[in-house]
Amino acid sequence: MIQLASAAHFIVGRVGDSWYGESANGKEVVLWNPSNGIDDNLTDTIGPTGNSGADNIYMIDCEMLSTPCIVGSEIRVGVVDYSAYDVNLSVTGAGYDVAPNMSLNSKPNVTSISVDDAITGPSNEIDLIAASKRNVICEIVVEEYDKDALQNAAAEFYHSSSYIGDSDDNNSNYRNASCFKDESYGTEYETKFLCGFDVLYYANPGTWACFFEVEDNLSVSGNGSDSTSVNTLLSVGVQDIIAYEISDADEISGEVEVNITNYGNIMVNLSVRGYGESLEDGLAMKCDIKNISIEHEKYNFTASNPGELSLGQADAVYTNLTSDTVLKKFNLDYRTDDDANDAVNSTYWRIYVPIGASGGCNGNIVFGAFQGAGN
Amino acid sequence: MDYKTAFIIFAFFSAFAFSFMIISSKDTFSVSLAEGKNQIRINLSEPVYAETLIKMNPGIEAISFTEENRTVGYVNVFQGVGKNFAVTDREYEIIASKSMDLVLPS
Repeated sequence: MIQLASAAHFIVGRVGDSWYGESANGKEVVLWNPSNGIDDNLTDTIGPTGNSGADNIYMIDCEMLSTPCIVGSEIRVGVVDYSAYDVNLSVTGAGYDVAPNMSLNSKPNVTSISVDDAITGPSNEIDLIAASKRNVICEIVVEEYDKDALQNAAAEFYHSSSYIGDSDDNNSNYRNASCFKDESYGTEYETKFLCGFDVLYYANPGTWACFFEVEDNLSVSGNGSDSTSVNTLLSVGVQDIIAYEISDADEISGEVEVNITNYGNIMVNLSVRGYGESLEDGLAMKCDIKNISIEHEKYNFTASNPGELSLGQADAVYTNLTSDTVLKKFNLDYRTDDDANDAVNSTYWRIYVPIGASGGCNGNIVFGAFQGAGN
Repeated sequence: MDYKTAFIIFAFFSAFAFSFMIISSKDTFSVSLAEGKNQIRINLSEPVYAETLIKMNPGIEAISFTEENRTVGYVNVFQGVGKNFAVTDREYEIIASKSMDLVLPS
């Protein structure tokens, strides 16, 4: 026997598989002395292919550090590129030291997710509300096997034309990063999240999905998604009152601009008809003295014709109102601008007051929206 | 020679033979190890594996050698972990939990 100079001090430790079965074998651990910085480190592969040759075990000689460990050195060990809690230990004078156990972190597991509105039948369909918003709820259950605190929960509700991570857009993408968290739900591993979205009337029809993602406190995320369908919404809005200004009988009023707004999520054409006091009474207006026949009220859905016009001139550029419903091509698309309502088109109206009609006059115009072709 | 004499002679030779067997069984190659680190070179005619050596010497906590700027070792923990290398004619570090005689196969 000849005494020779060499030295070793092994740090041995066990790394458990993740709760959902991901093996620690093959993962790499790194050992360093925080006092000397992470750059002076040693690594080993966990399991049979590493120094230990044993399942879930690593083994590193800390005296191989550039600044070798000595008795009393505070050593830290972590799993490389995989979130697990690092462990610390002090080097002792024994032949080896056993580091505290580690376990591979389990990512949060989304066990259920469903998205729908409050209308239960039919399910999995979302019915928007004209000129308003529909509350859509994405309900998620998450299991966190490590019982880590869950953080940064966020959900996106997005149309099939959009992508996860796109910026907010009322037509196609909604995001909620303030989901309600119910930690009292279910088992000790479970948490329920409720993520609400106020979906506006002009959200694109078609297939939508709720994508939910949450992190544990090691910033390992889990996610899930569920799809649903947003139904088409056909709706238009018109101002309440059309006030013609006219001074004398046997004259055509000045042109009145009437704005039509698309309050749905599909392109609309218009139907229109009029009545004085009751449907199909043949009147445009019922007056105190003598009424105004339906054909004397006129409209143009495409062009303005300002200025004074004679009845003949008006008849050439306007269409007479009718008691029966007429379908007119209008091609008013739905809103796409979140800042300003761009789903508004003008229509232009005049009325001829025949001789004899006087006093207060009132009539009704019925606008309707339809999806098919118009004239 | 009567029966009694024959028995005494037989008992004497039996005791002698038994003592010889015990002495033979202890006739192994050994060296004292101090508690802690011991750096030694072992010359063995037949190599023994690290695991075997540790089983023969439960007081050994670890045995290792350096090779190509790395440490190859076998540690007496978790029922033995590390590379179960053959202990041959080279330098080793043996860490003992207590002072002991290193027992080697004869």
